[in-house]
Amino acid sequence: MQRPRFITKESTREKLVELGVKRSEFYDRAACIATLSAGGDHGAIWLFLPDGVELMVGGYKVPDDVAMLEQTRLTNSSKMSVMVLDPEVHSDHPMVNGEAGKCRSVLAIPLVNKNELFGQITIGFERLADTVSQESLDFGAEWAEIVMQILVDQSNVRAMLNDLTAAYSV
Amino acid sequence: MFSLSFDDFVALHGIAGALRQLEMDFSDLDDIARFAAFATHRPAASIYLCWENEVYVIGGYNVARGVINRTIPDEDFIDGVAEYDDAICQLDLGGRFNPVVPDVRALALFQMKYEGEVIGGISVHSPQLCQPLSDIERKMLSELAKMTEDLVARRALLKYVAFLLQPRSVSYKV
Repeated sequence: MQRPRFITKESTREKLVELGVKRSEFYDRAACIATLSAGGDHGAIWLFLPDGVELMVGGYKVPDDVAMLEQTRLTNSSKMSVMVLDPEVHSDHPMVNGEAGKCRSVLAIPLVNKNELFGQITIGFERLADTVSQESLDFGAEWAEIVMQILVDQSNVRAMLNDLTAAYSV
Repeated sequence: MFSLSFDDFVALHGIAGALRQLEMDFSDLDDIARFAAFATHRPAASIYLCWENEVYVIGGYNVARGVINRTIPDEDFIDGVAEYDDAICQLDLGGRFNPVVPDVRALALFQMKYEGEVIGGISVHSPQLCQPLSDIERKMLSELAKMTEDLVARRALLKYVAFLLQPRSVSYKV
């Protein structure tokens, strides 16, 4: 059976949880690997829900309740982006003001499936962006592809198991 | 329903036996092996399962799938990691890694477990002598091994469900 896209217009946080897509140790590890491979200090895996909400499914040295910094959100599915963060402009954000981190630059890597942007991996650096090497960018992009594939595969598998369990429970 | 049956299957055969019967082999494990190699600047990497004295390569980068002899002693693993500067000399391997990994000098292995029992691991290797892995590379590969062990367990459940659902041949002989 052909599965719909990973995130559809009907997707909600609750429906994604049913598919096993939620903050978990598994995706925290994925965020940790992304961060370390890019030489960063903090990292988070974000998914974009249709109502404009961002859902963090994995984090490395990022607390659960942190909201995505609007400036760091990608809109283009094909481009990684390195951004400098002004600590005065973002003085109320815990990942910048020292509550959870002192990020001074961010690498945002798109999570793309079927040419559509579904989320991003955000790597925070407690230093300026010009020290982020090309190799770090390459590793980040490589890992993002693997993470996206795992997200899609795992949600498809869970959906299939849910369907089968329901069918055999009747 | 299915997860309970899978637990029974594992209890019956042991996790190594269960994984062996399910013939685990997924192409995306090659991608993970390739990432492990890139991230540690090693030219080759593999994801493997262990069964008694044999090791099954189920995903690889510059390493073919296949069966090799189990040559790494358990006592060499500290916190799930074993690393050698020159594996051929230190392990007195000679040609015993052939044909899957014919020449291995720098070698690092990170164990994968299922409910505390070792099921296999991720290895990164090189035919040249290399600097030991950095602390960050070790941490990254340890996390990657834990993530992959989770993936392998989930895939095993999926293959088991497929195994249960496949139509059985029926004999009409009386």
